[in-house]
Amino acid sequence: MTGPRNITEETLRKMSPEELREFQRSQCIFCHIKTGKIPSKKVYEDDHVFAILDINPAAPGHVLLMPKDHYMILPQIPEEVVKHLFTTAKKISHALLRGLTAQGTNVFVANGYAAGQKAQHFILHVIPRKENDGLSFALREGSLNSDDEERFRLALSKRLSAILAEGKPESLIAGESEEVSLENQEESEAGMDQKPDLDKIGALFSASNFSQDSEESEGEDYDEEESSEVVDESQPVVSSAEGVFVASKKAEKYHRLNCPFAVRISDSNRVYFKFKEEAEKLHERCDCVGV
Amino acid sequence: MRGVIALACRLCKAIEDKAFPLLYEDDEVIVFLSQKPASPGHVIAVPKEHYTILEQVPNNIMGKLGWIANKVSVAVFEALGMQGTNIIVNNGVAAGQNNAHFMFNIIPRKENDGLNFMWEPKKIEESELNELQSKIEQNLKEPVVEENEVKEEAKEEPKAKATIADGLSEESSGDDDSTEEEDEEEENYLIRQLRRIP
Repeated sequence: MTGPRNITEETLRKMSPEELREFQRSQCIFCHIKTGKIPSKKVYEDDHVFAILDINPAAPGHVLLMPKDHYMILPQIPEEVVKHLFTTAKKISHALLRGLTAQGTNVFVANGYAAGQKAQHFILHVIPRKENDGLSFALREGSLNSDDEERFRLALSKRLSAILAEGKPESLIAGESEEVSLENQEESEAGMDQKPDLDKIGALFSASNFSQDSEESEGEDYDEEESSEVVDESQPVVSSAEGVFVASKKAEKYHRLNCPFAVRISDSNRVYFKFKEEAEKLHERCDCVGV
Repeated sequence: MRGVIALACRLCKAIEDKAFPLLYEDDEVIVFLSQKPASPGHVIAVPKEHYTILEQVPNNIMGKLGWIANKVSVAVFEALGMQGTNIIVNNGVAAGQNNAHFMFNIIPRKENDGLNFMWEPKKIEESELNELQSKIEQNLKEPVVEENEVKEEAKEEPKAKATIADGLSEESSGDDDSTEEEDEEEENYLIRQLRRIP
């Protein structure tokens, strides 16, 4: 996924999130395929999603299903489109079983670079399978000790409740999120996984995609002279190792931690919020928060 | 609200007995930590009702599973500090399915975690691509059986399939009977294989 070499990293770093998004869209192969600018073997299309054959497939008949609008990862995609993607995947799986006499199918999603995501545009893979086809999505079976199980379960169920509650009008966030961050602090003290290395995830979505020098982009900071908004730094700001939302002190929007724009915020500018309400006093909401 | 449960299904029994703690539960799906995780924090989402393969799962449940898998992905990312997630469905033994109860796997990822789901891309001729394209397109255009038919008449799957087969034979000039049999065979083949799983 490379872009024109004459766009410098400098130019990209100076772009606002909207400009960057537009630029990424203009460079996105799959957005061009959708419009027909780049030819493809389309097998399905409706108002929200479309599917094409992979020309370098895992197996013949490997289908790439994606939303028509440009999104990079699943959490950015509106709920109704998410549901529609999966029900369409079911249709495609059925078509592969019938039409290609496949013996099974895999539905596969890679969210983020560490998970094997290579494209900037979100893709849901539907892969026809036959015995001894040389592929494997079989999952290894590790062990789970009861301490870990308890820790993971507590952290995950609280976080999941908070995420689900955010969608509701009467916010249950006040009580729950507080617990979540306390829990998380305990976890990190207990030697749990360290702070997510967001720069690594950002590598996929950073300026590196538009030049060949992926090494250099890791750990890139927002350029200090960049943002126009002046933030009153005397305002009390909640800062913790494990906040729920993050923003740059020098920029407009606040994001979820896993937002591709959030990962580019330098440590010195990074500020965390536990609650949307707090964040919204100082920042505008990024699209990633809306989902 | 358990409708269809399979007496021989260990997971169904465990759900019924409330044998393990859940991360999330509603009328249609439940979510829990895998007891044999592929990576730390491996979460499984399953329909409460017993379905074996993807084709049996009603559309609304499939959408729900995708939706909750997405939310779990975000939770895993935020609460466990992971760097990414894979969402994997193994549909059929040939696809690596090792449990007769349909499930979504949400697998947290970190760099150098020792997991690799990547495949070697294959070279494929233009002519083969074209052939595949028309076969798949054709099959996708077929009249889709309404999901309540599939749900309520799970036993009468051959009948549901026949509807599809009729559609097929109208459009192509292929054989009625052989297509119908093929459909039944494909689906039954998957189910038969899965019955062998303890």
